[in-house]
Amino acid sequence: MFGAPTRTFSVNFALFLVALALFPVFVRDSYYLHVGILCMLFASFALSWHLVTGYGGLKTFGHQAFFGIGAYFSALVSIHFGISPWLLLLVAGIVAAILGLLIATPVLRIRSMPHVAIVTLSFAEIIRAVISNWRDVTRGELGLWGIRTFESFSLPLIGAVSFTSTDKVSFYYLMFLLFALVCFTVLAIMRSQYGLAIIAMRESENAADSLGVNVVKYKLFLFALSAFFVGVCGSFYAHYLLILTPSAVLHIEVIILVIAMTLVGGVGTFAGPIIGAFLLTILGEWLRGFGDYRMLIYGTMILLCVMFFPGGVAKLGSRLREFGGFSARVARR
Amino acid sequence: MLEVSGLNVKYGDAQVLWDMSIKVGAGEVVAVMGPNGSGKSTLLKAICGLVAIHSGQIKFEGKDISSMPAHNMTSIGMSLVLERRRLFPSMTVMENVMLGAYAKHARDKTKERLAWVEELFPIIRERRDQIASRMSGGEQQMVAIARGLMSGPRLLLMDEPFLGLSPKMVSAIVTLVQAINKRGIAVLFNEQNVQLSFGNAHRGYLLESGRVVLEGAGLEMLQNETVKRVYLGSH
Repeated sequence: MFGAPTRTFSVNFALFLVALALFPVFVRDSYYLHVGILCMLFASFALSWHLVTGYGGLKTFGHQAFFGIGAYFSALVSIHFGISPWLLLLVAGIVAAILGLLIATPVLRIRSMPHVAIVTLSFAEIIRAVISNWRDVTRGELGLWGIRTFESFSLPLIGAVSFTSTDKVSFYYLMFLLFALVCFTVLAIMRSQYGLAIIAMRESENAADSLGVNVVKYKLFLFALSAFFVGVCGSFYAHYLLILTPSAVLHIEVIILVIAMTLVGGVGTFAGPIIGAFLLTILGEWLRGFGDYRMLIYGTMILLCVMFFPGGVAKLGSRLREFGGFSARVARR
Repeated sequence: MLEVSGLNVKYGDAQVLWDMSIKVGAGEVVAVMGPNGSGKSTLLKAICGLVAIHSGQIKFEGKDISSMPAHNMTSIGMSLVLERRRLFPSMTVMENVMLGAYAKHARDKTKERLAWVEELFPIIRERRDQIASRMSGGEQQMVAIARGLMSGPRLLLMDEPFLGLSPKMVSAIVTLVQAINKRGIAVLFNEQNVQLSFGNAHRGYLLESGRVVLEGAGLEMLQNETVKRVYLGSH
């Protein structure tokens, strides 16, 4: 009943997924596949963060904690207990979700959004401090290595699927599946009556509450689900890159990047975080030579976006009719 | 129907409601009148569970609802229209109205209720796809009331329903409140204007600094010497 998908949106989104799925058929260069994997990884991260912040209206700045916990938990368990990364992908998500519930509980008591931002950010910084200083276990900034990668298997028709550093195609498709899972979950939620209730909660908490929306339940649910996906992303990251440092997965830069992606792409839209993640990941690779100046460039981009097209690229596109249905219904939210 | 007795509410150390007792009978329109800061909004919010109460009791149809969370209120037959409308601004008129039937018990009856509400508020059908924030204040108030009726309440609470509306809209809303009441729904509303509140209610309460200082039938309240002297400025 609510937010039925427009045809343009469905067509555009399907074309986008098909293009992503076919990408490795035409491009074999492992560097480009790597960039593609990072694009989808950050798009999944941004979509999950946006679920809480963009749709739910809870301004959290600490999602890098779930990414880092997912990554380190998965890496350490695979190293010390030899458990398969396939299983850990799921377990890391669950661990992150539990942690998400833990941090959401105090956050729910705070009505002022700047305080929510600071509490979640501090929480993430605590996690970072613990992991970088607990050198006996995590090796701190020296980097954690020796992480197991995904076991190979074989599929009928396709044959052997192996996960080695020279062959990125399998990683690419695994990430593609995770990305699609996040996309469809977010779409399913936002198009159900729960989606409408979540938007209602963002726009007027008291009104939603007095109409029968259990605000506490929804906030906890959003937080846990979002943390779960980010935790899974972190776990994938660990078993893909096979080396972890606290500054790579837990630094405040990680969340700033995700926020920049969402702002540039368009807050409150489904396509926004995806467009932003692809744009900034590719731009980031392109600007690799600039080193630390990259943050400066991201900062400038956020400023320019907020000043000149506050709706982000997704809405700019809809205005120009370029992205058509991306802007309609769900996207408007 | 609704019975509030000995209600005390505190915001931190500051007490805003003192030993307050009010009643709403079935089918009644009751007005709560008082100047700014007299606690009329807090009273309505406390009844609906949006503000925690310190002590006292709130009973609805004989059932103690003093500690019931806000989101369960619609399921027992009570609905609140918040101050300044509080529509969901980016949603359409229809989405706003449909959210009024969000509670589980109301979902099955969505269709009949919608027909009923559309008959009272033709504007819902005419503007169904308009974005709520693009409507005038009075139109938004109509949508907010319609949203409040979608859960099928027996008691409708309205927090300052006439605030910031044009005189024409005020009388339109008054007419609507009467129409709603004719269908057997009790109404409890608050308002700062003496004529608007007591002139349109069966019974009224006058609040001052968080206490009930006067109560009586609506027209009696209008004639009361204190009310006249203090609020109507006549000698």
